[in-house]
Amino acid sequence: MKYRVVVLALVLAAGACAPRSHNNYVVLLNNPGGGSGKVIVSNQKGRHVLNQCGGATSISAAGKAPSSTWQLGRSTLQQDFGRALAARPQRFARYTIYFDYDKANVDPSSEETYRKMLDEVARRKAVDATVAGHADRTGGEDHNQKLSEMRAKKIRDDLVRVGVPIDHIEVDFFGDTEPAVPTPENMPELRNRRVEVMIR
Amino acid sequence: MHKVLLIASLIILFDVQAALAADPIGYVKTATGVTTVIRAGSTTPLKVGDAVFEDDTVKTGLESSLGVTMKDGTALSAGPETELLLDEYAYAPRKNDLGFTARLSQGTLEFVSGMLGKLAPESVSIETPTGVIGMRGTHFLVRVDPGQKFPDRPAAGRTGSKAGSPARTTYR
Repeated sequence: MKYRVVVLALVLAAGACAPRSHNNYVVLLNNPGGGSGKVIVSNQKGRHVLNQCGGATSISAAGKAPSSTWQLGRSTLQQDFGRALAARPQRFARYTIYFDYDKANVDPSSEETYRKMLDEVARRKAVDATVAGHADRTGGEDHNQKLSEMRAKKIRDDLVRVGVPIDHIEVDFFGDTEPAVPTPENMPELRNRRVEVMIR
Repeated sequence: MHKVLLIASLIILFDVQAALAADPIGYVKTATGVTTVIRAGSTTPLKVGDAVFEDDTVKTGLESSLGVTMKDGTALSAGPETELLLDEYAYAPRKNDLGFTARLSQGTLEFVSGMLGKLAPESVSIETPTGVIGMRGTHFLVRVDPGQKFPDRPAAGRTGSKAGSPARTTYR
């Protein structure tokens, strides 16, 4: 029994005193959408590419090339990055809302998406957003500019209604100058009568 | 005479306002403990909902953390005792003005790329005192021990085949 206590104490002491084997390092994780991209770590002495989840490279000094890949253990990951990981903001979300012909009303086909978007915004804290309004190629340029502005502002007003501060919303509008689908002039096109929203 | 002075002071006022009215490049989404920003030489607290701007240095204290989402959706989260300079940032896809360079002088950082990682990944980099991290649409972590100096700018990790890759990319 006594022996066990001594061993435990030794293990703890060793853990506490062990010099850190890695000081500066980079570790690659999986992308939110799945799969991993890659990172390229470089300094004057060389470069190293990480392309597998959990792979790490040490960059211990500016005058020493990045190390070959090593695997970061779960416990070190938690120990070194636990707080940073816990502080990660929610991922951004993008929505496209379609509109009725020549109006600033949400098209029935988009109502569900629209409701989902507002629910998502209401669930989040400290939201900021970008809203970009568009029109199709029916009607004159000036009219479409105005129409795309009204659409964007309709969405903005609803975001404000669910709690987003108005000065945290960037409103842009582009008339018919940025069609999602190219069409001849005066062709009604639902896919171009839209507001693109990014929620952060 | 008074009119001239008035106009002159108005011009100065507008200049100052124009400088202050720089667009936010991101917003604070999470914060625990002591979180601050160094902006134009003075340090002020940073809290959830606050905007961050180009040239801001964000800092966390002991047992503190901070999460920021940039305009393009890039998520940055910092652990304790971290210092990060948001050196250069541009997200204007319509003008093809895209790029992000940040300097991590110490601490721990999680990086999850956003639209910049899709549109112009080669224009995104995180600089540390001992190396530069470039990326291709990526989620990574980086740790930097305190008390290290950055090498002089021209030498900062710009070697090999990626030498001189621009901090900001203009396409056309």
